Amino acid sequence: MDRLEIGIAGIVVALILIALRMQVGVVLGIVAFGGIAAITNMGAAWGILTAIPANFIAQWSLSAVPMFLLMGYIAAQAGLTNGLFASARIVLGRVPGGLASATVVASALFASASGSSVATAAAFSRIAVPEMLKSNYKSSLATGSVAAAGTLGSLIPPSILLILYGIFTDTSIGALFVAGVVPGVLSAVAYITMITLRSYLDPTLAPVNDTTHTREEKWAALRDIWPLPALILGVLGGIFTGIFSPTEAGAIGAGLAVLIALLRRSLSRKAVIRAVIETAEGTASIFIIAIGATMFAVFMGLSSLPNALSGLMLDHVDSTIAIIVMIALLYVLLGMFVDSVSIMLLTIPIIQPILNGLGVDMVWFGIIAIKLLEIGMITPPVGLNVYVIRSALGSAVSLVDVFRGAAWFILTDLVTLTLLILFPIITLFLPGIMK
Amino acid sequence: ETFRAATWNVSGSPNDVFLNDFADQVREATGGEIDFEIFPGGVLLPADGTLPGIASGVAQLANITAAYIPSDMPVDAVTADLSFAADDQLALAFAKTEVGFFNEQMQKEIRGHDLVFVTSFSIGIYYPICSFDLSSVDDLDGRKVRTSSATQIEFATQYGAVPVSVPASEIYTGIQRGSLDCAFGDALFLTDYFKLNEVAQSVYRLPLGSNATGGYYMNEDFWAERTPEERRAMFKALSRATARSMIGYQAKVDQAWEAAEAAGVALNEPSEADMAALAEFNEAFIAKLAQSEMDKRGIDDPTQLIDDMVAAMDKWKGLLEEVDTTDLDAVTALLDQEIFDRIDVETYGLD
Amino acid sequence: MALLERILGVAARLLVWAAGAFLLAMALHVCLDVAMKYFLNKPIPGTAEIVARYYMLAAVFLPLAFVELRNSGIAVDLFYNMFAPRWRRAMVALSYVGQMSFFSLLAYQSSLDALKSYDKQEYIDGQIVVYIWPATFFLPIGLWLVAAMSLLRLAQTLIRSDWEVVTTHSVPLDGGQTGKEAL
Ligand code: NA
Ligand code: NA
Repeated sequence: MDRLEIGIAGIVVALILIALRMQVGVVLGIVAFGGIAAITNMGAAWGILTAIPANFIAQWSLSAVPMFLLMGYIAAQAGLTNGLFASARIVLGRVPGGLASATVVASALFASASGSSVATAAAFSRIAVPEMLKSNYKSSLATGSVAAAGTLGSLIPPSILLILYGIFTDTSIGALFVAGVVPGVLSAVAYITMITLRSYLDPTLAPVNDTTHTREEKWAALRDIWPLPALILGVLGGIFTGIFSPTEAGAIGAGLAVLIALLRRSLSRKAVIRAVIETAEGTASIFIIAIGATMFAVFMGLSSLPNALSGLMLDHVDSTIAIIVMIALLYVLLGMFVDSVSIMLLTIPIIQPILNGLGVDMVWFGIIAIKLLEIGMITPPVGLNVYVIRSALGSAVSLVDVFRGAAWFILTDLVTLTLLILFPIITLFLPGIMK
Repeated sequence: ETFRAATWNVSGSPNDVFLNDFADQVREATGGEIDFEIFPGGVLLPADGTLPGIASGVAQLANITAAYIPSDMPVDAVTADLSFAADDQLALAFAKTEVGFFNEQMQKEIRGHDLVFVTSFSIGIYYPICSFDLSSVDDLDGRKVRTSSATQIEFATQYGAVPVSVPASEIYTGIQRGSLDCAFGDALFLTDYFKLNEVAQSVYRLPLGSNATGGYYMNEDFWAERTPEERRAMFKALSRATARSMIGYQAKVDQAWEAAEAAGVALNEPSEADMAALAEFNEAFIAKLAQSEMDKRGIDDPTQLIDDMVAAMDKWKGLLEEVDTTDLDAVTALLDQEIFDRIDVETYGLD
Repeated sequence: MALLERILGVAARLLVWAAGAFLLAMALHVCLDVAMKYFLNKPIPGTAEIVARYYMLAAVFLPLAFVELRNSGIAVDLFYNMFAPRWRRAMVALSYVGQMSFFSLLAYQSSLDALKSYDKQEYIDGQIVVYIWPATFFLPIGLWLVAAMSLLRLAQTLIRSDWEVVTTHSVPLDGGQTGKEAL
């Protein structure tokens, strides 16, 4: 077998093992180990085991993920979410899918500030999903909206992915930031439209709440509305005014949640312990997948499969639209297994010369590329946002349900993408004015 | 036969360009016998996993950033620390290359890891790049700065600067939003590396040294299995690629300064008082370096290494003044004459 | 086997408690660092390094066995229920073989790495010198235990008639018996 064949065989074996219900991180890691040994040699495969796990995990910037998980768990354990969602139920009760739409807005805002999909999913899975389930929302809708809304964080500035893309392709980060706003908002609007339409057509998805509330109930809800907004605004405000960085924001968020809970006297020692243990459990189960995925990305790079695929798909196409469609296909395919940054690193050197040859605007393409890469965060079999939600909620939801729920958002994204591709002005209007 | 060369630096970075250049030359010189495929962007090996990666043969050639693994390369770390006193990027890069080959303490450390040192390079000279108009070190008081070495911190905190840890991916937004006031970086921070031209207000051109912490290393077995002729051919290619890479870096630095001016970033020249203070700091710093390195890193006395490095930097500054530093042939000839031709390919790296 | 189950269970809980302590320490440490930086212009030196090298490694590797104790590792159960119990048992057994192999590989390599790290008294050299070798032992500790846990699960799957109960995901910690027991 040549290395390309080993790469393809690796993907097939991984798919089979995942279907047989072996743990996702284990599958990725073990297939990567075998594949790297087959392509190079045993010593090299052991070398990867030394080089990756500890060094990948020991990153300051990754620490935001467990800290946002902790924030979410504490907020949920201490009931910081009750008042806001009770009020939302009263106000939005009759709007089809109202809670899901509100969640999309809130987590898109949060994601835009934190700049990380995974961190947002970590924060909101415990904050929003159980509240929606309480209102009898189908778990696919409840989890899908959190998984998908997180992906908007990379589109709406600031965004680490846009920064990396800008540096990597030598495109103005300022222009990319400005360009991302409208497509980001458009994506959120499209999500909300989809949620509303689907819930309107199928009321079992998100039952409307037609219970009448007494004055006292309404007052009680309203009086307790502040904790969650205070928490989220505290985190967002601190990031935007530069008091702390997005990496530090997770710990601040957790600390702030504890403070607010202490103010409300709603935090028991037991609840803290539970939140902390659950955070540890969630952190381990998510990052073992991330380790496997990182090893798998090395295996893919070594197999030259992404290059071969790019070459195969792009060599014989010469219109801009056809190229973009091919790249979309390529990114969605690679996005099944490989993380956003690795895909960018592996493909941009091949893609960029082609795009430059065609005179494609790299700001426009950047927004489309980021949108495509973020879709990979919620596609099976390896969709990190989905796994974050699953690990936060345990057996309360099934993984298949989350992927199924996310699929509606992916379809919506495809509509948005089509608009962005057909009408570059949507993306380029604002940066044009700024010039 | 196909081999692998890796760098954790991204595709298109000076390191990636260097590896491609080297690979092309070697392929041609050996009629395709030695064919390197390049894996940039850390897709093969992460920055702090490069050393075991080369030693175990994941890649046969890669650049190691010793600063990330100081306890594996404590001796190399001494030269990195010393590079705070450097103010000429090319002289630093070539001095580091020379010392890497000929200083016994350096060679002992490298060979202890089953690696073969093959050449070096240096990032540019660091300056404070700030979100406000910095025109004197006194303006650093109370400012949050991102630094790259302990010595930079020591220097900056004298003036009340507050050192902070910011991941590389957050430098841009940190400067933009004020969670960071300054980043100490070379000219390419403004363009290729972090595009700070878009958010910075000023660069204070007080040369705060560099970070001569990089080097290129080969897998020991790979090296031993090549014929002496092949090893000579690789040295020829390494010498030329090193020259081209550093000349290219230099050109990029010049372009970055022009781009900065075009972007309205003030390039403030350092005051005489600040230059004098820096010179005084450097003198004291070098004088106590050997002792502080022994205390900090538990290594044998590095006095000889420090003397070699200081002497080599002076020597290269002199040599480079005699040639046109944009002339590839001239710089390559210097590197051959002073370094690569002096190495015996029958014995080097084979003990 | 009952004794072995008990021992591994206790060890897994001990480690997850330790991981929890490190997570709390991480939150506290970063909050203090931000506060001292903002109010006093005096950040705590080495915060980023300690967070990355100690707290993160502890938070990821120490709870692995606990994850296994509660069967909450992430797997895709799309096709699982379509199979007959006999096949399901084979699938579960295969999963544990895979997981035991992977965790053992990692455990073995990380043990060697930790010993090497200890030998060279490994440190990093950021704002301050931070000794990082002690934290490299989090990996072998967590990984060997999860490898043993996987082996136990494999044995249970092959031997016990109630294998499917033993290997099924526990309910979330804030509801139900299993959760409380797990703590
Ligand atoms: Na964002
Ligand atoms: Na995916």
